[in-house]
Amino acid sequence: MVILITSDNVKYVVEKDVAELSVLVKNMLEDIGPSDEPIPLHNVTSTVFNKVLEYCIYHRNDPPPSDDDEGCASPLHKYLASHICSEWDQRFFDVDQALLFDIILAANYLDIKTLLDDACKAVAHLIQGKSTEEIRGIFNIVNDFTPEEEARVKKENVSS
Amino acid sequence: MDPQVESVPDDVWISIFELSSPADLARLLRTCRRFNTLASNPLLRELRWRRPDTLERNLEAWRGNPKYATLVSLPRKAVIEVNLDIYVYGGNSWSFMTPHKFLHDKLYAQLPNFGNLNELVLKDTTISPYTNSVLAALPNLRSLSIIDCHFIYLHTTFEANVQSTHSFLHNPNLHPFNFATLSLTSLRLHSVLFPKDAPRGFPDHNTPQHPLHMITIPSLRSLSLVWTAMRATIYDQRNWALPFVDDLKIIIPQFTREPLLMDALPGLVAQCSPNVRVVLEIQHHGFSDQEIKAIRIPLQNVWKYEGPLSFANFGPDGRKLSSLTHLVMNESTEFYALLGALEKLTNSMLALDVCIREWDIELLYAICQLFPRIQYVVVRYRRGVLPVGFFVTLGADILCRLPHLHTLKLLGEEFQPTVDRLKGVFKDPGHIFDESDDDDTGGRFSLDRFFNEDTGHVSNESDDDYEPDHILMKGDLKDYLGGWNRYCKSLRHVQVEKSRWWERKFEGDPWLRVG
Repeated sequence: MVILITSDNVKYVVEKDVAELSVLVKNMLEDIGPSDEPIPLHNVTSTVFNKVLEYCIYHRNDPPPSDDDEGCASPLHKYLASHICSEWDQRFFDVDQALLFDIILAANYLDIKTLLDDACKAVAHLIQGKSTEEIRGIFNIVNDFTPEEEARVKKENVSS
Repeated sequence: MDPQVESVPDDVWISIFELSSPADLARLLRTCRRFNTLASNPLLRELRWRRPDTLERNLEAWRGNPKYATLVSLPRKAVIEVNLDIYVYGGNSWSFMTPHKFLHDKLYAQLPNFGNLNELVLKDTTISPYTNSVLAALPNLRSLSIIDCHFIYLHTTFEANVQSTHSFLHNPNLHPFNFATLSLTSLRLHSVLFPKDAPRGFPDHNTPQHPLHMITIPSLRSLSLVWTAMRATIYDQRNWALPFVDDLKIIIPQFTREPLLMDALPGLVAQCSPNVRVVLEIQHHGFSDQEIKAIRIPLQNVWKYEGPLSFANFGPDGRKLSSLTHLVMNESTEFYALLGALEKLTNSMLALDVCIREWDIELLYAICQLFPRIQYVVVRYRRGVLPVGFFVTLGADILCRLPHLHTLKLLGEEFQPTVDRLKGVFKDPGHIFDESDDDDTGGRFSLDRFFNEDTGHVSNESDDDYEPDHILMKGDLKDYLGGWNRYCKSLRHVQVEKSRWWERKFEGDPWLRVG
């Protein structure tokens, strides 16, 4: 068992294999060696950590992600890799945008690659088919182009 | 920007943008400065050229603009669909000094600069022995598609300098190209055409630099090949080994009496990996119904067949072919002929796309009796209507016996079948789907033509307004869908009208109308 403490001082007792899905936690455990010392997670609140934990418990027995997608990956495999989440994953990411980005930031901080990849897919899905103006609306983006830049951006295109 | 969105690091945004389509990226580029920088990298992963003028402009940008000079390592895929007029016949002589010739040279001089290019699609464009040497200069190229390209002599001697002067006509000193130097794993080799009325000295199918020789590339694993009498003859003589090909698609544009066309095919399959899975597509044929009955296609390991149903009785000695799980018909037939052919299939069918001359509910009864594991059913009917009360019968008598059904489409005459119709159906995990993407416009064309020829009916724009007003109960289909959930938990897509259907993503979801 591993003890984790979130930034709002909530204490979690988590099984080791689940906790070690986070490369950050895994490295810290290796550094401190066998000990019952709690591990502080400075950048994660309990609200977000509940979600992260739910994901890690569900995916604890998944095979580790492989880096070997060079060369032989067929279009089918690439398609599956980029588009298909399980039913469970789709439901998991069916959350408001603020929480989705909290999950991304937490996954990035905790270094949980599969969670980060899946959350990225959810954001890519959010952007899909939206107009430039709609995208600005979604993320509250301020158009910071000068008029000249904007004209150039509209014209510029090297992939036809 | 939302503070949270602001704090997402650049590399995470890049991961997100890498999952976005080029169209989405083009819009992201215009949102703000930060996204303009971050989204431009993934956007350049795929280059697509269709028109000579945009190609010319893009090539200028790649050559001249220092911003892009550092980005040549980004493109992974290039699609070249530019129809180039390279050769012209003027008076008595052929000439190739056209403006497009220079564009062609610029293009092929630029391609090797994209050192990470992994996938190349050449479609409706001009290829030559010179193309081979450019392919050899792309060390990471794994996937190549050659679709409806013109093949002409335009070559160097495959020496180091690919930009040296070309020779247009046959050069007896030209070395045969060493195709083993290419490390392709996936090849789609569809029609390769020759200039009309080509004079002597133009290449033909036997030219040693012809792309047909690419099927000898030892690393090849996936092959999609248009199979003609000419190619069958060449293959029969050479009997090339394809030891690692385990994914083979054979497209027969015209099934004729030419004996080698079919007879050489088992030899080709036998030369592939022992575990090869075969897709067979027959687009046209010139046989009468009587003749068809005598025809056996002696082919094993076929898991998907597209074409006239009458030919689907392949397999040795007419035994049922147990490997076949997907069948797509491209011409309609009478009910009893259809039933007879379906009875020849094994009960392991997963996907069925059939065309029937007149609607008959018995067909659905037959399907659920014969294929209890079926996941995908499409019935295209030319005449007839779905009767009043049809949905009650459908639920009570048919759907309750098909627990695995995922997609059901019952489509009236106005539906023009297209070969890509299986595409995108099996999107959820656990299902199999066709991986042939952006492929085979030839097949689609032929199917359209078939329908038009057969009925004398030429579709026109007004068909879009067609409303099948006889489907009285279309308004309450949603209520039925809810009820069917009790026994059809896998059902995700139901369509009984043109360009309008009901779908849901998951079992418990509400049904949504699309279109």
